[in-house]
Amino acid sequence: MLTKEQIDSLFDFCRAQGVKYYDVQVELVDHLANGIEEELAEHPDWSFQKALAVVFASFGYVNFKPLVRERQKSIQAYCWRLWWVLFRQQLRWPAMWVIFGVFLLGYRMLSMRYQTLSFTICITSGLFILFVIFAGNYRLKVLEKRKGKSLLVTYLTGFPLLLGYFNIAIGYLKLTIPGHVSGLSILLAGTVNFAYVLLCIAYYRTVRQLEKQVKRDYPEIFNIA
Amino acid sequence: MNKSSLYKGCLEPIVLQLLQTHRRMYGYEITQTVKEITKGELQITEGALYPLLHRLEAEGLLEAEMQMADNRMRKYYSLTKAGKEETTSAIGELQAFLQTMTHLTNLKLT
Repeated sequence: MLTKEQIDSLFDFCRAQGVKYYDVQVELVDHLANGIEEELAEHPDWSFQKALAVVFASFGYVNFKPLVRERQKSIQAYCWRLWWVLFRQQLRWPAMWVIFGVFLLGYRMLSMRYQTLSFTICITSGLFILFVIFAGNYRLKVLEKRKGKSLLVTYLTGFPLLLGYFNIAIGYLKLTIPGHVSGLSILLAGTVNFAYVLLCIAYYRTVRQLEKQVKRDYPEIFNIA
Repeated sequence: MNKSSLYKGCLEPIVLQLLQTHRRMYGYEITQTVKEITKGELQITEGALYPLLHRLEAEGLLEAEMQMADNRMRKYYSLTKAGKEETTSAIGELQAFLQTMTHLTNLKLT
């Protein structure tokens, strides 16, 4: 069995080979350690460094960067999938009523001051979306580095959602121009807006889910262990 | 002909089938088991295995579980419900492919 110092040196080796993410390092360190233990058992005269060189060569890489790139792609695909699953989960009545209720409350509060329907909806959803995205991004930022260890899970970001909402907001503000308002345009804008709000909530829930998984998988960097 | 290129397309069903049989395995264990079963005929490179495991995990076919082993963390992979269904279908496809190849290689050229 390798010593703690040798395991630590494998973490250093991974970092030197282009792996800065702790979640990727953990798996590679275990693989390298298993290989080295086997090589040393077969060739007791070999040094730790020689065994490491042999095991590393079996990866067929110059460094670990291609592996990290592949991992980034799969993490991204995983996040998108999770986001989509959580978005679809919300298209059920109990969840829809809660969201609708929150909106109605916001709308009532704002409409006391602003009379235009589209303007009120635009501001209510804008504020809500802003809050949800910033809250999600803040949680990701906190997750990003624990005890100086970066996690690949933080590859996700909600800022494109903010940019996307500008388009919807512009559409809404157009509705405030006299002559642009019709029942159909309000219905369309309202549906797009509502779907967008659901998407943002799903983003926040994705972050929470990732957070839970990371805490479960790497308790040692969250002082849980 | 390079044997490894023949095996390349079969890597996914092989890994899925192994996980079906062994319930849960870690990366190094998979490479060693394949080497052992095939008596060294097929050696899965780590550079091919890990991207595959990560992709299957992202697709929801595998789930991972971390566990302390010796003095380090170890990542175990196991099949999800969708992964079990996919294994059956992947193995079926592989067997159909093997049958076709057998027919083709047994053809007598006139």
